[in-house]
Amino acid sequence: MRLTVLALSLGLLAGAACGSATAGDWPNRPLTMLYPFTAGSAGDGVGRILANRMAELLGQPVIFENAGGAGGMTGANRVAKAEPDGYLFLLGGTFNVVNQTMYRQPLYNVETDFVPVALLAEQPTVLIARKDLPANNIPELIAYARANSGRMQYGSAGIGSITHLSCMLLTSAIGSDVTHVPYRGGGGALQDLLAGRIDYQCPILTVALPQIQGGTVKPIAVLGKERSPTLPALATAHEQGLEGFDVTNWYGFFLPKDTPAPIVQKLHDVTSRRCRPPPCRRK
Amino acid sequence: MKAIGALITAPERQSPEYLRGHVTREVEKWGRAIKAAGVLID
Repeated sequence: MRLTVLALSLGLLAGAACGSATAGDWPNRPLTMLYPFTAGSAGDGVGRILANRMAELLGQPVIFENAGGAGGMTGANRVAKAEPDGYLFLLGGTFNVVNQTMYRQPLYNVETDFVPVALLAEQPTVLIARKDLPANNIPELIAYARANSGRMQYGSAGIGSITHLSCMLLTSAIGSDVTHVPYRGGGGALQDLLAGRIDYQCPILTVALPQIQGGTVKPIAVLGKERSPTLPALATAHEQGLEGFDVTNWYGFFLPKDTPAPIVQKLHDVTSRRCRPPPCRRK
Repeated sequence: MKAIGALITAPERQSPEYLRGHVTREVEKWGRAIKAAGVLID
């Protein structure tokens, strides 16, 4: 009888061990990388490139899922509330920390409801102006904006978007009264900039690159702390006199809180192997 | 990554500990700016 009880107990313990996610057996089924914005959004490319290579290193498929809504809050909340077993992780970023303050009742706390895994990549934003704006650089923009206080407008992809917040910080830094015009997405803002109906906007550099290269908009400054290799001739706002100005859109992986440390470490190691600069840049 | 304008972070900035500190600094930076601008969404 005692032997039977002991055997049953050992069996239960073994079953529990098999059912739990330790780094030893993790991952033994497909993982999901959740990006809480629609396909084609700024971070899409970053996530998809990483998912493919991580799948090779982990030996399991990594499904890239778009789950847009509420400025990224809905999808990120799914990860925050998920089982901490390592199979669902978030491609998070600047929006996580912005939502923390901007929403009256955020669905999660970005500092306590997630376990950080790795800071992955950064994309600078850029200040672009309508082609016929008289200003060509930050000092000239400041002078022009002060001379035209209350008569200028900047566009954005919507309230709370990185394009809004970048321009909001910039406008605050140049100390002028410029009206914000929120659009439903960056496309409408860009169209109106091209048509000269608004004066400037602050998109992610990649998004603006075709227009900059095509000469249909005027690049004024990179808004990140360093120049971009994509546009090395364009000086940063910091270099042009706005000391310390830095608006960079960043991306990182996050797991739900209470995810076992060995899983966090393994996901980090795989990410890190994928993201050593030369291989990633070659991709 | 370069083609999509993304810069891979340097290895010393990829650790979980670095990201934890980065999140804290970013919450503070954006929180200050957003509160100053009075942007609040219900």
